[in-house]
Amino acid sequence: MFTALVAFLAALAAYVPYSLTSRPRGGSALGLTYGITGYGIMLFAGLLGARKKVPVWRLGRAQSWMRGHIWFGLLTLPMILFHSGFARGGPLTSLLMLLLCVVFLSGLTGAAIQHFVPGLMKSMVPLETIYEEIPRVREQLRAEADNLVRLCFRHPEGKLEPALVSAPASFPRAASGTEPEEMVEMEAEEREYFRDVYGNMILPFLKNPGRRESVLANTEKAGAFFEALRRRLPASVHGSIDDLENICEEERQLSRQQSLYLWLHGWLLVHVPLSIALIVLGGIHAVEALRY
Amino acid sequence: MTQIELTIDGKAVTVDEGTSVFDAARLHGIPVPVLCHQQNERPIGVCRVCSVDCGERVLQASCVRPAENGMKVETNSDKVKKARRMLIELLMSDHPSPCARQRQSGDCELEMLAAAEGITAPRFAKRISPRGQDNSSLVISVDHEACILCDRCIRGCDEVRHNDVLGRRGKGYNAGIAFDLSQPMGKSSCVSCGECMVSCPTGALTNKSVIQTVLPNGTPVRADELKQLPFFRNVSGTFLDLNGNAVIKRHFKAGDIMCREGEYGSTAFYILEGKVQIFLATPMAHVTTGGGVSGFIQKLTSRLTGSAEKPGTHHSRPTSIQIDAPVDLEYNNPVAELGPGDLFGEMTCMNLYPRSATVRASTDCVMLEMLRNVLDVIQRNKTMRAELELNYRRRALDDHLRTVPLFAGLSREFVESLATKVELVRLSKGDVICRQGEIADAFYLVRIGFVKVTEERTGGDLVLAYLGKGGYFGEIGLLTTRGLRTATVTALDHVELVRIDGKEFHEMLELVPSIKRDLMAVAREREEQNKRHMGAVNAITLDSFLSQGLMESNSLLLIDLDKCTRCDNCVRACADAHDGVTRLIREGLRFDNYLVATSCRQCRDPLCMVGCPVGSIRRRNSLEIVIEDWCVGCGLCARNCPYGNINMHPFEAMVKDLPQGQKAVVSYKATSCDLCSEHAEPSCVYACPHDAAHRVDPNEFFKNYSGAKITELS
Amino acid sequence: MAGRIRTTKKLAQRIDRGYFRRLFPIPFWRRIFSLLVVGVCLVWLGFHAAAHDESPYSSGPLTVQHAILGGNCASCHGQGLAVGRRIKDQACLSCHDGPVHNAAQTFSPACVECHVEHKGTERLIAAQGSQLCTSCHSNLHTRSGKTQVAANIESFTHGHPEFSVLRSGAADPAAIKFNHKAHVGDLSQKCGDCHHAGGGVNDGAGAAGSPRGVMRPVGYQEQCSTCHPLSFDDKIPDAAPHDKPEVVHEFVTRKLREYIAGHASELGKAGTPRNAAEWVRSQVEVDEKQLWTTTCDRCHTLHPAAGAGLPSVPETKISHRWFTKAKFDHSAHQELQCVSCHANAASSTKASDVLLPGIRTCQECHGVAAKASGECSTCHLYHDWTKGRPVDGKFTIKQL
Repeated sequence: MFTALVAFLAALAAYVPYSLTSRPRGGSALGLTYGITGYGIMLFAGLLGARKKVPVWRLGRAQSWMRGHIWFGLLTLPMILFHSGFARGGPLTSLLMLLLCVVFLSGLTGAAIQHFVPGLMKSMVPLETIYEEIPRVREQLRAEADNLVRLCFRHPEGKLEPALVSAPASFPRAASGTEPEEMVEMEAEEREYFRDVYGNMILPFLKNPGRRESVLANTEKAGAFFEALRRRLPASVHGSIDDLENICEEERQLSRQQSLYLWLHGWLLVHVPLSIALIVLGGIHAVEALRY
Repeated sequence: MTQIELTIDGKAVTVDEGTSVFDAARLHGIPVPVLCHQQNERPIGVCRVCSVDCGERVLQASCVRPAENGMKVETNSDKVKKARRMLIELLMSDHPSPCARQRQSGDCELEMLAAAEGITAPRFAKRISPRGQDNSSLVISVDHEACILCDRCIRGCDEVRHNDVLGRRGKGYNAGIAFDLSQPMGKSSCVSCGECMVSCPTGALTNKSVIQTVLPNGTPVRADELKQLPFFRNVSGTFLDLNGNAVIKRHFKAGDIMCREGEYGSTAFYILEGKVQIFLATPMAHVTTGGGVSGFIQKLTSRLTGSAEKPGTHHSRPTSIQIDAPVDLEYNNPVAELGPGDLFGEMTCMNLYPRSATVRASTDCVMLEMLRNVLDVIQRNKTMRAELELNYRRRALDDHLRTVPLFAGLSREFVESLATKVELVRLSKGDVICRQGEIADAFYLVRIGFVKVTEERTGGDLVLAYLGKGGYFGEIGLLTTRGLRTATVTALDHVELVRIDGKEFHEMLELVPSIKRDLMAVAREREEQNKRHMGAVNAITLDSFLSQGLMESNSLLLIDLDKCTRCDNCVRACADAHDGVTRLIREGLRFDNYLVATSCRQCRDPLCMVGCPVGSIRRRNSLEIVIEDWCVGCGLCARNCPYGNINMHPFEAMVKDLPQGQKAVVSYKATSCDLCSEHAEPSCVYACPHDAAHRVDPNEFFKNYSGAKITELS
Repeated sequence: MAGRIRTTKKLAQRIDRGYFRRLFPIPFWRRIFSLLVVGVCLVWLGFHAAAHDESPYSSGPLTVQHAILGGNCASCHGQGLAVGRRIKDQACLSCHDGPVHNAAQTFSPACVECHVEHKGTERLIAAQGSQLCTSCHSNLHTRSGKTQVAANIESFTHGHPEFSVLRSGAADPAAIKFNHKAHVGDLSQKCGDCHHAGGGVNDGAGAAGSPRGVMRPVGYQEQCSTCHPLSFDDKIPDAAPHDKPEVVHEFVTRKLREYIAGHASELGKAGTPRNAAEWVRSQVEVDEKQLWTTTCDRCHTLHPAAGAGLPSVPETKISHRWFTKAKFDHSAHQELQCVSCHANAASSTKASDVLLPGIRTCQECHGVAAKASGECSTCHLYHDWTKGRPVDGKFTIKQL
């Protein structure tokens, strides 16, 4: 942003003659100014986290905060380098410098990730849902699958064989009691085959969609698999097979979403803790440095 | 007339021959309780509550039993009392006590009788199959549950008012009153005279008071005052009585502004005295946006249905601008004057559109400002309609026709001759105007509202066009040789159309051959465009735009998926802004690069508002739909919302007035996005750190996708 | 089969509306990591704090000399909050002496102005640039208001005065007769035959002056005696010691006495006295005359005694170092030919010639960019160590 650039240039402009005329020190007036500015920016950047906790307060748009976070965050490194006069200093200051560099780099990485991955997510996971709700959505997908196959091979009393139930029993089944349910017409042998395939191939995948080795975890293989299934089974169940294929596709996409999501937010595991440590230790450094 | 003598409760009385026992008793001060009978209606004796002992084998319904000479009548013997008590108890067992009337005014006749008899808890089982409610009318709410089938309303409608709308339907437990052929009341031919409501002894037909808006600083007008006015002459006085606050009289000084272009309003104005000027506050804007409504048509037609203009000849600007009033404004001089007896603002009032023009008093004037329900009654009233239509024919049809470039060349005489032949058609949302494949019999001009032109295709309907005020359709069917409708046209909201019969239309074309030529060209062009459109790539996005119902919406929460990092800050912000309950779910269908988040879309014609029993879901004087805190948690709006944007949320509520003091119970309330109206910007948008969340008007925002701006309200 | 139709409502209803209130792995681990990292850092600091070791807070490594103070900031920094405060001079002076630069200076900068710590173990504690000096010397003010030599020294090449010896034009005060030309030109001796580096003398310059940097004083015993033996008598092989006339007299007398004791036969020969004592007396007289007037006089100008006493030798006053306020290191210049600086050495005939090269010779390299340092500290010291005083130690071993 503009302010940040101006501030950087001002700091640079002040630093050049300062470093030429005297030894840059953290304790000199200008050095202290750099230090305080740098730390202030860190605090401000850290406040983004706090700001997010109170999203309703009208403290300026979150977007402005984010921009400030990024641009002023970029400013911390030069500020602190000016503050330190490009020296490493003692153990604590070295640690602070290291933390700052890691935080800075992770921030840059994160900004890059958050810039590119959403687009990737958009194109790779058209059926994405809320990450946190993926387990729940999966349960519902399984319940949906249960409902689908129930029409194909159910017991006379309308219940599915326990071996063919995929969703946890606690989860409410989709209400289907209102519609008249008709047993799907199938030859006994075909029914047996379908049951076999469902129980041995589809059900394990639905129960554990993260496993890579399943045929259904691969889009092409899954397509071929369902194509073969459709050829083998009568047209009366093609609709169900289509839906099952659909469900499997959604499961696959959700797995993809999970891994992309980890990318999207995993870097924060580095960025946030280290920046908190940076702020805490920076505070200690300030106190100790001002004491002596 | 011969006199007869009889004894009632041991008292000898003399009455005219032919008098009913009921009347005889009444005349001599002996009250007989009754439900199904009232004095201005023909007695039919269905409720049997007025049964008396005439010394015969069984008890007789006194309202239909003629008095006979020497008759000995017991109205209060133990036998009669026992029978009456049983009857009331039976009626009460099906009665949703307290019913709407009892709640409103405490005068449900059945409940009063029951109270007199001391019946609190009937011993009999309740009716199993519910008969439901009907809230489709704007002025009367119908609770079939509370109906005791006394038929008082039916007689009122058919015999007193001769409207012949009400009748009976069903058998046994399902029997009930019906409007027309069992239509919802709002869709029926009911004129909202209010007679049935007045006749009803219970809460089956009650006045629907508009909780909505408190009209500003005016004097409420008494019903009898209103009745003096020709405009209100045929409106039911009872109804006006009940809606005392729905019409107010306001005085304006010359120069006062009554309504401003772009404001949201819910009232219509009727001019009593004085004159008002109607003008567009921002005429320049209309000039620069490329011609107001016609620009809209141009865009629509050029994109979707072919150009309405003859290429090369009609690049001139439109000659007038249509507004929400019975006149159109000339383009060069966008000011018009209305005088006493004129009504304006009804489009805003009925459809909750923003005001289309600014109205200023040019002299001191007296206005009646009325709410939607009153306007609805008036518009339903036959005589009123005739008057309004006459007004329209006389004043606006000419201009209206001329705004369509095609008809600009019509002679005044011809329009005047046409004026007597056109018909104004009113339709509500979802009504089909004409169907693809039907025989084409008329040409239509849109006066108020929007219609959707769709073509049935394999894999669903494809919307060809949206036509707003000034749009016209029906010419393809009339002009092409087959004479069949090529598309289905459906009303998107409260629509008023000018219908020109096929015969007149052809006559007109014969008279003015240039129009015929142009129209033929347009018709052919439109057909070709439609064909071309089928192959267009845009059809896909447009199709999904439409299938997701985005054009219905006034405001969408869109999340730019290229920017969104899925941090859920929007959801948290929403929850924070609303006591920890989010009214936003970051899930939904995608449209292009955007996720249409699950959050209220502020539909132009909100389905959710239909039927709210307490009127707590409503628009205030602005865009957003709010759910007021008197929501009773019935969940109707949540079920009605097609997009899942309203959700029932449990709240802990304290119930007071219990013998053991307070008690916490969970009660449900509907929650929906309120656009965080106390702030300038919704919290979710405000809290988005990545500039991904936007609250937008989809029609504006997706202009490039839909090929045309769909709402352009001039 | 209707197929699976996704609608907004269905999608929304799959979601538990309270999901965001639960804590999910990523935020959870974020918190754990935050606590962990901060915790580890605090434990690290706490560990040091428990050991009363404040070294983590050091702003940089101390020089090796000061390393012992690293764990105890207060030993230099003092106690209590000191925003913007610098190390007080007392802190330094409790261990070090820091004599004043010049009595006439108008103010004394704090120690830490020049002596910067926490910049690495190897780095010199007193690494100054010229700016520190020129900040005063470029526009010098003194207590008296007068300046003795130069008031505006911008740098070595601008404003630095000529070396004081040359400036005054005074002759070499050495009271000795020496002809460089005769030795170098006529006898083809090399400079190095007489002048050797390594004549470090603690003249107050402290440890800073390299012992090899200063030429060893030319002494008779090493440099002259081979060619100029102090022989005084043909009969006696020993040369006289290069010492005061009294010592020489005593030596000569003793040697002659020993000689005659061994050669009694020579008594009375050729008109010499027969008495041994007499012989010695007369022979001493002869020999000493030879010494005083010829041998010693070759270099020294003796003052004859009044009467019959011994003459006295005036002090030679040979200058070991010409620079009174600066130091010069010959060993740092050993790649140069001597005459490239001391150009007159080969042609000088008199000892009174000052053979010190002028400042221009130095300026040919020093102060010229990319050649040799022109900084003040190259030649000058700040502290006037001639005024140094011993320091009373204040610490015990345990305290440090």
